Amino acid sequence: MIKYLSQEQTKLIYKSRAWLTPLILFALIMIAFPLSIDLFGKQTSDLFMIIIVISLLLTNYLAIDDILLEDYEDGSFEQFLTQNKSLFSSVLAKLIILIIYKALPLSLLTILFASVNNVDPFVFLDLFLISFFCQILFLNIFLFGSALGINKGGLLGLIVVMPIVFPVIIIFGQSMTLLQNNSSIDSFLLLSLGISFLITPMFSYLSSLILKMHLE
Amino acid sequence: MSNKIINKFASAKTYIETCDKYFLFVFIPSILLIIAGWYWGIFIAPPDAVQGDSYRIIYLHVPSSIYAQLIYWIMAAWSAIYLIWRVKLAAYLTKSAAFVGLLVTFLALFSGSVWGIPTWGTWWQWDARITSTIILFLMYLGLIALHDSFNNQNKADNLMSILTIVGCVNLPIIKKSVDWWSTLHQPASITLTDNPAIDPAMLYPLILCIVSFGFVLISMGVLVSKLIIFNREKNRNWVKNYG
Amino acid sequence: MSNLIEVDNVHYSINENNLIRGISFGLKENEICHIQGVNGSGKTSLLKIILGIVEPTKGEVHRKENLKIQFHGHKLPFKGFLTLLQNLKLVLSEDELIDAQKFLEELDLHEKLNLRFSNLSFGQQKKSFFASKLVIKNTQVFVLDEPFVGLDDSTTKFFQEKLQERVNDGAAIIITSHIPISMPAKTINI
Repeated sequence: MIKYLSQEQTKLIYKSRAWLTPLILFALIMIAFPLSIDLFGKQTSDLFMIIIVISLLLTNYLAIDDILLEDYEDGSFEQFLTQNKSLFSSVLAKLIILIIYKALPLSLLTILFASVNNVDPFVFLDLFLISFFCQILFLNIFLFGSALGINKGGLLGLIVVMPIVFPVIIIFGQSMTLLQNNSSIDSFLLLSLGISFLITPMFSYLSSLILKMHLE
Repeated sequence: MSNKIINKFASAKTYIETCDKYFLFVFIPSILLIIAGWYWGIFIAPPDAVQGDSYRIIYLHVPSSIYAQLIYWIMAAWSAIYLIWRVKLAAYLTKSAAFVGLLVTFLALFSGSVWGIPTWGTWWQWDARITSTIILFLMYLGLIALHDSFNNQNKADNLMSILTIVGCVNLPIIKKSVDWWSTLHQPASITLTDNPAIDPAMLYPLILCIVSFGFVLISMGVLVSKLIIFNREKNRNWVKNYG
Repeated sequence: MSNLIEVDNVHYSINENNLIRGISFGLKENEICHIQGVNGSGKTSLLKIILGIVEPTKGEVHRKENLKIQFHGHKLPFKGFLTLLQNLKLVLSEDELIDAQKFLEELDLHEKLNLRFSNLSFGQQKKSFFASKLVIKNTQVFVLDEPFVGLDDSTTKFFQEKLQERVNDGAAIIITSHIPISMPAKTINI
């Protein structure tokens, strides 16, 4: 497993375009959003919490990029399958690398922009955790989607998984609102931690099954 | 052993033959009944005290809203049958039901929007029901698009069945989260559940519409499934010799 | 001696089209199997069935336990944004890497090691990937799908010699090729 992780890490690091795109996009959205709003009489901190989930959604969709497509098209998955029984470890390694190299920096960026927008420093830790778990769920779901629609472009996958994404948006959007009202969300964070641990192997397994079907 | 028996009775050939035999007996009465139901609802039933004549769209809206959800559960059942007993017919029917479901969900959304203009003053409201219906619409769309994306149809059947069942687990989650979201946000201005008890003079034509609409959908599903089966089994001898 | 791979009455059909109808053969050590057939006759599908990527519709493929297979198909799974050396490091162990560098020297490709893979010509890409497959140790079976397409005559000859060496060392080969091969092989028509 560690071998696969380091392989995926090498691939991602040298492919700087794939690695930087979501970070830059996120930063651009965060810089641009106050400009689109008439700030007179309003506080950016309130609006910031509202916009965060949807910008994470966009950037994570972009973060998945062609991570599966590339290996599918150049035959890497076929090579992997001849050496191993299933694609599970490959897909899981990709997902973990995605989470470490894309979701984690994005969560840190969230904190950075939260401080820029005068969000109460008291909630920074909660905000970091929420955005991190939120992204783990998004990445899982989008990975599943991109596995489903791998030979028909990203849009098909997006349509298919949108119904799964909506509840996540709603629930995390609500938790942002709760955070804004200074309510405690510890139990919710614990729940999302558990769900993240459950869902990551589950969706990697599902995605690997689907990819195997597509290879036939 | 049991598989063989099921497969014999649930073969596409037997299905088509049975459908051909009884199709007109279902199709013609259902068309007549839905016309009667709509005539009764539109011209005979009394106008609503509050909404006047605009309420009459419920004779389209309510049946389609009911079947939009129901068809998904039927699809889930067929998918389960396909995955457990490997009955190919069930997969064909799942796909045809998805087309019918897509149409019906669209009708429900469309008629709801038309009805919304005079009653709510807007054709779209982020009400819990509307939101879950639009998600349902996307689910049907996704299932159909997914099935078409595979070259190997058997794999497509497998995956569509799995996704249908995943979706039916997802449906209650969507419903719960959407309810939670819209109740926290703002109470919806008008929901159907708050409607006062409906007058029998309006109710009877509605029931007639619901029942006959069901049969119209069944005949529509049969037609679609016939297309799908002929397309999928076009190399089989019985299809070549058909008609 | 038991077979490394045994293909037992394999059928394969896509959407009711029968591609492969009942193929059986066995593959022993030191043996080369040349699969022949016209375009679209299901050669690649048969190879994928042998590899275990695709399940046959009917019939079975028995592989010896822990069989080490290497597959070289139409696609080149090296990444264009990595250098040739980085690509090799991803798939080879250290010993194999040294062998691979020697191999590439014989092919006059050792100067290209630090070039990006996407900057190599198609023939060079193909050669370097083929070479990386041939140096992998303990391989018992090589499955090669049209490996000589796009290679010039002398390179084709060179690779055939190298393959023959591996076969003499105990490996077996399943190959599809429209370019005639000079190695002694048993032919299977589908």
